[in-house]
Amino acid sequence: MASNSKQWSSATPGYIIFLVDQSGSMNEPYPEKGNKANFTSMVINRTINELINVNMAGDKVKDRVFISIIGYGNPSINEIRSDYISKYAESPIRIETGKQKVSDGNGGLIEMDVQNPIWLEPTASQLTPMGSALEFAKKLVEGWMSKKPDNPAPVIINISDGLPYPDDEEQKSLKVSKEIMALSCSDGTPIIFNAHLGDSNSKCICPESIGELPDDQAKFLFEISSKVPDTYIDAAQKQALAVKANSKGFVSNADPETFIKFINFGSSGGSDKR
Amino acid sequence: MKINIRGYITHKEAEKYSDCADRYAANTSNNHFAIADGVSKSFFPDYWADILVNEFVTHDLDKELSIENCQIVWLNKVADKVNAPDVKWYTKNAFIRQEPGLATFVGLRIEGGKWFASALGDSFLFFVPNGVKGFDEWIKLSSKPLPIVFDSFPDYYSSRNKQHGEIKRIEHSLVEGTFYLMTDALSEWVFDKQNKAIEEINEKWHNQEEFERSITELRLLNVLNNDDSAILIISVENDGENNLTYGDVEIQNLMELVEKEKDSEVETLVTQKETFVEEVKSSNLNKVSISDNLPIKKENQQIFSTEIKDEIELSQNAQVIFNKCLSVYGKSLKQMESIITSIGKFSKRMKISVEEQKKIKEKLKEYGISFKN
Repeated sequence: MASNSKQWSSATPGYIIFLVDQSGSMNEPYPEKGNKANFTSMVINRTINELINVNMAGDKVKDRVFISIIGYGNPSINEIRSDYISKYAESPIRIETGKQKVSDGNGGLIEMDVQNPIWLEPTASQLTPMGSALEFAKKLVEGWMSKKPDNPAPVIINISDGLPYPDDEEQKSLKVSKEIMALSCSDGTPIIFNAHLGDSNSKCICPESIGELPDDQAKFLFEISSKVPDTYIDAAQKQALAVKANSKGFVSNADPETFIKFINFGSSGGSDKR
Repeated sequence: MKINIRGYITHKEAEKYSDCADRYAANTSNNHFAIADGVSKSFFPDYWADILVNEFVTHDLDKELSIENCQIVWLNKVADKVNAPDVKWYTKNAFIRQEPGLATFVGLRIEGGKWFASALGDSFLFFVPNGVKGFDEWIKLSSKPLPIVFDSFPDYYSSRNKQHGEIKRIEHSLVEGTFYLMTDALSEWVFDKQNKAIEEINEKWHNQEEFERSITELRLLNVLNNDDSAILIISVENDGENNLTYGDVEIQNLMELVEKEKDSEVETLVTQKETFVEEVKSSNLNKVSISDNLPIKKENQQIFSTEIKDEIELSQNAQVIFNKCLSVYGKSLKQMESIITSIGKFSKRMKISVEEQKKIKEKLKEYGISFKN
């Protein structure tokens, strides 16, 4: 069986860890939702909502995935929530009412009220202990894999606006990410995807080489990203992401729409794998 | 011609009969038979599959499936659910988004010395004429293009929109032989094992219990995908009569299984709770967390990485069965016991001694799982 090909199921659930940068710089303005912290929360909430949709067959959500949300920066490592997907569905922090346009059946659109659940509230302060967050994620991955060695390899999705701080966190990030990518279970090695909310206009989506990247922050996050497994190609196509043979799971300065697509892609491997 | 029918159905591993989205139906008064596989990631696929097969077998005059009728029935049924006071937010949202139920389908009708079949998706009809051994000589029907590749993107009927893909239709003169209508996991297995699969079906699958035992064994051997599985076996014998008559008709009713499952829920284990996160957090604080609700050996609760040492040694087969038991942890104690006893006792390939069965139960005790004597 190819690496990272095992499908999520109730018997063999997948595991996703969202690492969320909650450092002070996430207060910086962002085109969508006012600032980066608000935008990140919106993306995570929307992604979990989507995961509930794809694992729901009507009025029951099947536990095909376990999710941890880990914040870092406020003030250090914060395990926000770890649960099976059905538990997220049962108990969001709160539910907002929003509008969604749907077909009226005659070629037009009508606006309907929909309920938007919230599991992650935005927050931003202090430092960026990314290395420590990866260290915590490594322990979670090890804990999961030791109990579930035949399940799909876990996926870590890290969302950040820049370099770790204080300085030793950068070396720690490099070291620990390599250690995570060297772990293995019957489905292969855990995957680390990184999404960079930068300030420059140099957009970069799933690059193949470090030479394609504009700045040190992007280069650093590229270094700690896994190569996109071949088995994720269909999922990439579904999200209209141009993934090449040696692409790494990394985006930098993507527009909001692409950013959301990337997070959906990273977290949908179990649903749309070839 | 005389017809005998057997039909069996089961759910994915670590799920329940009530989660199963496969359906079949047979009507011996008009000789219509159907099977459907609800796409598990669609909206109320079980309702949709159920409506399709029942619509096909109950309408004498409509030789074609009336999808419009089916869509109205599905929408009314789902609307009742959505309008219930205890509706979940995600169910309501999906209804507002107009998400559809999707299902693959095979329909068969026998009439005037001929048989007619139609298919959409990766559910299959196989007809094996008596005396025919070669796989190439079987009649096979689905809408999948050649070469047959099973993937996650089958054609389907939609409960809200036009179908996806082209319906395939065939007709043949009725001769002695056996029809096998089955959903995709079983179809893939038949394509892989061909005559051996048909031999296993004919020799071993004579009731629901034998069918389920065989399915568990094939999954353990990794030759059958972990998916809902349903099959209708319709054998045709020449009894010298022109009219069709029916002999043995044994079709497992899924709803009976669902009811029995409800009755046995008193035996259901506590909901599975993952404790490794607490363990990691505690280890960060140099503390040891103890939980009484987890599938991990008590003496090992403080560790989560590599060193689980087992005093009870198991044979290779017993270890596979033991691992399978852990995979249904939190679902049903009865399901777990059935894996140990029926596979251990009856399986040709995975058979283990009574002593080994006891050892598995002893080992499970260390994980907080106890069986009644």
